[in-house]
Amino acid sequence: MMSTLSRLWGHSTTRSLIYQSAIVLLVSAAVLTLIQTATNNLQRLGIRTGFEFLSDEAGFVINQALFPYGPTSSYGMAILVCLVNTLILSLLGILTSTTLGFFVAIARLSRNWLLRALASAYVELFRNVPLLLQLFFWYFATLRLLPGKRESLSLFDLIYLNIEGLFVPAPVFGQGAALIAGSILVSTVIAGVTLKFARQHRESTGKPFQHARYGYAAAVLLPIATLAALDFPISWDVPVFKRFNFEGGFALQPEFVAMLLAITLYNAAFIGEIIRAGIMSVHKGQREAARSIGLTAREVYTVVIIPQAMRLIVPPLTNQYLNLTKATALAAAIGYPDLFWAVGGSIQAQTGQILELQAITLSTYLAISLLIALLLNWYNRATRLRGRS
Amino acid sequence: MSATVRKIQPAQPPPVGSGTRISWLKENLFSSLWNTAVTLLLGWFTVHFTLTVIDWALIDAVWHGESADACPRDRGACWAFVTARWQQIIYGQYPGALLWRVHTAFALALVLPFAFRLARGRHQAGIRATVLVILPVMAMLLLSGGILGLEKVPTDQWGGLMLTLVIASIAIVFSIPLGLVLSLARQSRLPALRLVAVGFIEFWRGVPLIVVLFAFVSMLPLFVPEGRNIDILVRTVIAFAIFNSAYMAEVFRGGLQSVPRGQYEAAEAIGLDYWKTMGLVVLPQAIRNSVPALMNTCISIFKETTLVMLIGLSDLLGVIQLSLEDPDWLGPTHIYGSAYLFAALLFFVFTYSMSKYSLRLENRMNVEH
Repeated sequence: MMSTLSRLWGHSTTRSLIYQSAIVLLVSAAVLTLIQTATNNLQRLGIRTGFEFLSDEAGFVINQALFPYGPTSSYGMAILVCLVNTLILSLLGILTSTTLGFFVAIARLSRNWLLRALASAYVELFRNVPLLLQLFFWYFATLRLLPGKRESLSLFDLIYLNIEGLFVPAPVFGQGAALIAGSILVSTVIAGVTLKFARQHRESTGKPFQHARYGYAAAVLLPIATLAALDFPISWDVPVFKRFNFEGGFALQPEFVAMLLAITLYNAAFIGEIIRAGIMSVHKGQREAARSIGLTAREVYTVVIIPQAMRLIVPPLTNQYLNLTKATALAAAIGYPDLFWAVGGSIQAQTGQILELQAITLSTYLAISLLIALLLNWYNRATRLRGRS
Repeated sequence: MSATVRKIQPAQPPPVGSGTRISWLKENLFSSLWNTAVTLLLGWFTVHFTLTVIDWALIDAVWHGESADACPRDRGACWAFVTARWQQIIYGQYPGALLWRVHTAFALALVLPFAFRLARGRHQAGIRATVLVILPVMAMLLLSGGILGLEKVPTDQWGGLMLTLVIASIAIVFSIPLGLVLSLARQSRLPALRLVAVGFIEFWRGVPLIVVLFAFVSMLPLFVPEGRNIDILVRTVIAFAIFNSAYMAEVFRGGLQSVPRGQYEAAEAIGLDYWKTMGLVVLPQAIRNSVPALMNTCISIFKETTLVMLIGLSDLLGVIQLSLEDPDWLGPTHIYGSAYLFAALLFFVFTYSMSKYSLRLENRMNVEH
């Protein structure tokens, strides 16, 4: 009997099974205890459970709503509006910080010493100071210095900046907007097919595909032709100051402007470093080899350096985008109506359903993160080095 | 025809002026028309900016005063705010008579690395372990009191830079071992353990810290049996440690993956079991390779401590924000600017020296051949 047991124990498969069952048991015991305690506490405190509250009337105002929302809308609608606000902030932030980061990287790689020095000073300064502090600086100390509505700073009388926010022209789509969207979609497909076909042609014959330019031309001309045929149905609604207020256009809240400024400047410092590191890590021999086979300085970059650098840039860059998206939750600290603001503030105070609300917030952020991670994995698989492993 | 050179050619003269200051300027600042234009424009901007800052921050600044009235709008920086609130900014509401305890605690923390390095001889490991455990515990007991006749100072009186440092160091100290265990679990041969580790790590890495902090503070009471109450500082520190352990786990995973497969195989071939393979062969190399990323994570933990002000703790930024909203200092916007710039300077001093130290450490530990 003893010997059978000890033989079983000595068998590595059995042993690993025993260990694993112990782990599963332990984890499930811990989870069950937590659930049990929570249920007891909820009953004791008389807190309602379940997600029915989502269809109840929210009753509070959201000062940036991209689709119809009023105090009589439901909690579910409020959460959706605020989630869209989070996504807008993240997407715009990604766009602006990547653009700025790109220029920072160029400046850091410049041959001009002064430009290089200023760029590194910028990077060190903005990377080493907490984001929340930077956000407060822009919101409480800088944007409040802006003039009032009557003395707005303006850019070509199109964009106005004052203490109440940033006022920009809004596009107005007339009749046939759907047709234009459709034509853009079609031309994207045309461009994609041309690109793919041209690459296949080049790889199989070693020569560029002569007729590719017709495909690209068609892709560019189609939307323009559609626009012309419909007599340009897109107009701009420019903000105009009338008596007491700005009318027309699109008003961006100061909270939004401050947060966008803060995440752009903070993340551009990191992104600049990521891009610089990626470009620097392409071996010097690659540049020299490219020059020696007669490529021009521009081709050296576009055909040799950038494609290799991208493979090193994209993974940390995606990670930075992920950080940026998560960091937008800080905007709630200055009252920007994002997902965290909605769930952590008013709704929680009104319904008291902490568990459900936290579950919604956590799982939404988690879903966004996993989506970005999946995209990254897909990219890595598509661009990994083939032939060698 | 043979091209053999019979006569040794005389050496060519060096390029005129190479290696001098003038040539440095020429190469780095004025190499082309475009470059010269950039240099002049940026140079003008830099000089102008520096002069403005000096004027605002030093010459025109107000250094002393008791309230916002001391800082009129037409003057420069309002350092009076900082000097008047100095004690709160550094120590929070910690009783003035007991500040020696804070100072002693910080002295102990400063002594730690030296004591750690000075440990020599047969009992080196033992002394190091003792120092590593005893000194931080002593420092914490000094701060909180309540034993050995020390008056108890409740954590809601802790604040300022002191609280920032306390939260950051505890979070770092606990998240490192936790992260190491998680990274080992993630590499384990047991699928169930691996699954649990991956789930744990990816969950925390997928959600924002502020949401986690908020969840911990608001939900933790639901998950502990009735009648127990956990101090808000303790809850915060637990949240910080768990959250960052996931990031630390990723740091160590990178380190573990940088150890070549052959090292594992060689260790197994000479008959070492799992723990000896890890402890004697793999981890020493993996940890050394993780140091740069580890320091980066420590820096972000330090910066992230500012988030605790959003859940009601008075860290450095929290104290400053509270003092700014105090009726005494409510007023001109430039007081906000001065206060935030001062806080930024304090943070910068810490994070920048951490990153410089990390570079030095990296060079010292670099044993590549």
